Amino acid sequence: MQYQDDQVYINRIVKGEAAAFGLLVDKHKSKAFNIALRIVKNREDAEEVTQDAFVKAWHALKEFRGEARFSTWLYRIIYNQAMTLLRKKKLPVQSYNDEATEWLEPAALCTEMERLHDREQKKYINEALSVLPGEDANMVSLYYLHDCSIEEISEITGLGQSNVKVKLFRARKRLFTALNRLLKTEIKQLI
Amino acid sequence: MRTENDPMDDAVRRLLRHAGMEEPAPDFTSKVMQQIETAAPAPAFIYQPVISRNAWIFSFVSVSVLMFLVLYISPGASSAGGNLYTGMESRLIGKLSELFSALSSFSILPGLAGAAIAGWLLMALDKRLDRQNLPV
Repeated sequence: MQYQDDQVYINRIVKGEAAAFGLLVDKHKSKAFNIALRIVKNREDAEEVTQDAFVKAWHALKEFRGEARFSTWLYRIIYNQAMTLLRKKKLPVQSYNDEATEWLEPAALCTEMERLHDREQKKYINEALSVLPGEDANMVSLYYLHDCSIEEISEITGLGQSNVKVKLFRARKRLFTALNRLLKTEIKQLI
Repeated sequence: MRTENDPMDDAVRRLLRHAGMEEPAPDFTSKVMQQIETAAPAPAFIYQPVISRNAWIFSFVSVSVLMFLVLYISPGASSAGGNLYTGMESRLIGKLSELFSALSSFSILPGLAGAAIAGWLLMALDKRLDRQNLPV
């Protein structure tokens, strides 16, 4: 479906056309859900977080001044909602072992990954993202998957831009480490 | 920092895009819309004057009619005001002085009448505010 600019829907909603919010939800639900999923790590909680975030956005839409993109504003609500759920449910903050392993250089790893079948590629990348701490996985997907700029990630997470750059660099490194471990395990199993 | 313009960025971007995104449940949008419909709407504050336009018109007409009756219909002319005032002014002053002298002779009745009018006004105001259902 070809969607219109967010502001078109927002204008219709403000004029009283509640159904236009459904189109806005349809347009953003996949990205919104994936942001929540990367942080909370399970589908049920991610759906709950995303639904609550959309309802919150609906109630706060009058306060949306259009200073930032609607998506950035929405992602910030989702990020906060997901972090609140993590604290509320006292889910363990995933620690990550940064210990250096014998790992392929990133370029070689990418080449190896690209040799794999589509299904296997997806499986490894999703597994690697799931073992990363939520904040790291979120950073990586915001930047590489959702095309958010450093400035937008800073707005969404409330972190400083230089802090975002550092965390993003570290998250990418961790993603490579995770992929290396997964590939190594797979190769060992094959042997 | 190597996060921007890094050749590795393209490789990571390609891998992640290839992995794609997970989709929420098919009924996701309808669930959100249901929650929105069941949620109570935020109370809207619409300004309404305490005394309506009709009430102002009614008051103005009442006072005008009363003054007309006092000045032109009531029998007899007043002598109050002496030589300084003539015509309508002298009659108005005369009637007002008659009213004040009448009020001074009945010390309890004006108080009661005033209290009754004030009470009636307060009740009317209370009913009006109640109808408006303003947020407390």
